[in-house]
Amino acid sequence: MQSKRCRTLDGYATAVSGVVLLGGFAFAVLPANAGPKDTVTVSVVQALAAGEWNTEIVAGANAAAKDLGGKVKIRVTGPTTFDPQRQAQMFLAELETKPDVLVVVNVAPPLFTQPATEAQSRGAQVVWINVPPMPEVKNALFVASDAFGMGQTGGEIVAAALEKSLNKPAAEITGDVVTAVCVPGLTVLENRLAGEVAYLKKKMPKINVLASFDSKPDRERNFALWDQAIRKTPKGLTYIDPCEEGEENIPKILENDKTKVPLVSYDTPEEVRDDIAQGLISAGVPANFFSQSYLATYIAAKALLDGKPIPSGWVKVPHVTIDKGNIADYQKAWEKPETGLRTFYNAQIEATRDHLPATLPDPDLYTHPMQQ
Amino acid sequence: MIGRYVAGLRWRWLEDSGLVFVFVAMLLAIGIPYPEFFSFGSVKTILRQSALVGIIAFGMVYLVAMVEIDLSVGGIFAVGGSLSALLIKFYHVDPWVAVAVALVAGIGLGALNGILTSLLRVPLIIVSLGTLSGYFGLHLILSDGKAIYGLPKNHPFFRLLGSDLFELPASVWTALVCAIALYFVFARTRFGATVRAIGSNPAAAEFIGVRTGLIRIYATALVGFLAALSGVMTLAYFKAVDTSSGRNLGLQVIAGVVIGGTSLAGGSGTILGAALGVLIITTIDSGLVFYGVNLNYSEFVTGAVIIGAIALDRVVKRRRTQ
Repeated sequence: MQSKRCRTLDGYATAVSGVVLLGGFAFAVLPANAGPKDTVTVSVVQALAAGEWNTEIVAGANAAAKDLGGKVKIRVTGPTTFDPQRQAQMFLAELETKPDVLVVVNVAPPLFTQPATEAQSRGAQVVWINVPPMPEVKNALFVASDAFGMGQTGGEIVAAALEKSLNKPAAEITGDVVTAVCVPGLTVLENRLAGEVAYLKKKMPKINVLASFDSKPDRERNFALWDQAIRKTPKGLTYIDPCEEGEENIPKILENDKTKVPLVSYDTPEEVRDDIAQGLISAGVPANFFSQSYLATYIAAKALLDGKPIPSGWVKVPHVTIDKGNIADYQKAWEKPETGLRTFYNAQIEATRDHLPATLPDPDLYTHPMQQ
Repeated sequence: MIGRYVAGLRWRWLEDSGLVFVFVAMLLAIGIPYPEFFSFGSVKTILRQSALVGIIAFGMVYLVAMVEIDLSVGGIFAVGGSLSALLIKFYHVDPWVAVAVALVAGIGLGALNGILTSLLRVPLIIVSLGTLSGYFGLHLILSDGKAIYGLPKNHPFFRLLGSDLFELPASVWTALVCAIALYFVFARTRFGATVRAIGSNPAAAEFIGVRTGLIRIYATALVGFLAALSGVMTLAYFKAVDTSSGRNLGLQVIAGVVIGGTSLAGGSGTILGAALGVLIITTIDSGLVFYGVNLNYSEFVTGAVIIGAIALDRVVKRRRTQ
């Protein structure tokens, strides 16, 4: 049986909880302040809070905060394993810290539709990088490189290298192109691959592009699978895996086999940078996550600081080809990512940041690039 | 004495013949339409990948025989690699010393699983659910969440253990030595008998004075050592450690052991079976590549082939016992 004192304490607890909940609810449904803000908090919700991908995105956000004169506070969260569902949960948890802007490194758009709607209903602004949200999320600011376009640039590099090495016009080149994806269905990866394959097929209509296999996202298994794929097709014209693990493994396997074919990488971790410097990879066409994160943070925070609405639409981040000509500068930039990459990408950042078109393209064009 | 060993091996061979049949059937199913699958390079790849998983699976046989499962082996594997790489690259420690430190750390992390299991009196699978995350976290802390790359490739450690010895990868020889040693310890020593006794009837084992807690700590420490060893062998080959290292490894190890015929009910285990189980899993991956299985079907096909392999193995075993 409960004592009178306990019942009284229970009563107090219930009353206090009620007040806290009501207060919290009232705060949550308050509309966002439309006037200029003195300071802005930007929460970056990472898809993978580990690796150089993470470093690059955090460095970009911090560089933007620095350029805005210290009026922007950056918070970073995200799972340390690739787990979009957990990322969505962490997004909702981050929402409870009441940031002004949430920058989402989007990899699984459907999982973020409901959380984004909830965030918007609470007055938080959500900015998307990597891939756009589902069309249900209205008035979204999406900042990313065009993955399909990156793939086409990659295809251009490979086709030119093949013409040179085989001493044949592209239209006469025959042979197999081996492809794989480490996480099937991931838009950014599928678009990179689709872009490169589309270009190669257009330029070299006689080539045979083999059906993609599942190359797995862990380094060891990816290596074994790619090794087998290269055994199966040892005379491939090129081998394409738009995932970091494959991009690191393929040159190593080919080097072991003393084979050289043109290769393009869409991620540029340290190992890939070294491979570009050594000529094992023809070029890198990275997604430029530094600039994606920089521009997302800068544009959103600047709008709030100026008391203006955040623009909506797709801010296209130019991709920069990394090859023998600029790899040394790029490697040096990575020594201090925040300042180094800011300097390296300065031209692209300023051109995009300072000349935003009045009307931005529809983010849906990213998902359906053939409509462009 | 030798006759008894040979008889034991023959008995074990018969026990595992269903799996051998399955494995050979798979090899032929892939190799006949795609002869490149039988190329020496392809075989080496399968052996190398199987060896890295197998080294851990051989130790896991001990735990499964004790009705225990360690889910954290992928984390210890990752820590083994990242700790060695960290010491070599940033503290300029001699690679051999760094590797020795990593192996000791592996023993420590494995033993910690066993100690926590005994202290908390809960199954190892529950403790390792927590330590799995903890050890992967430790791996990220050690590597600062980045790939560690740029190690001294020409050091004898990398040249010897990261390359081929007598035409086969060093990891394959390491796995072979581990398999032989662990087979004899499991089948022919007092420690192995105690492990099996605990799995058969833990209450009876305790009643006759077996220190089950201590034996469990020894077994988990052994698995920790093997996981770190596999991590170190992987480092030797790749000359790099990635943040993705070791992910999903635990499930591959457990799948290899269970497909290999070690009963989850405990009391028995088979090292040869675990080796075959791991080889079967690795070969399925290769089969998917050679057959060019559509991306969206590959997981489904993997599952179907595993079920088919287990079914075929059991059918062969039943026919033999009839």
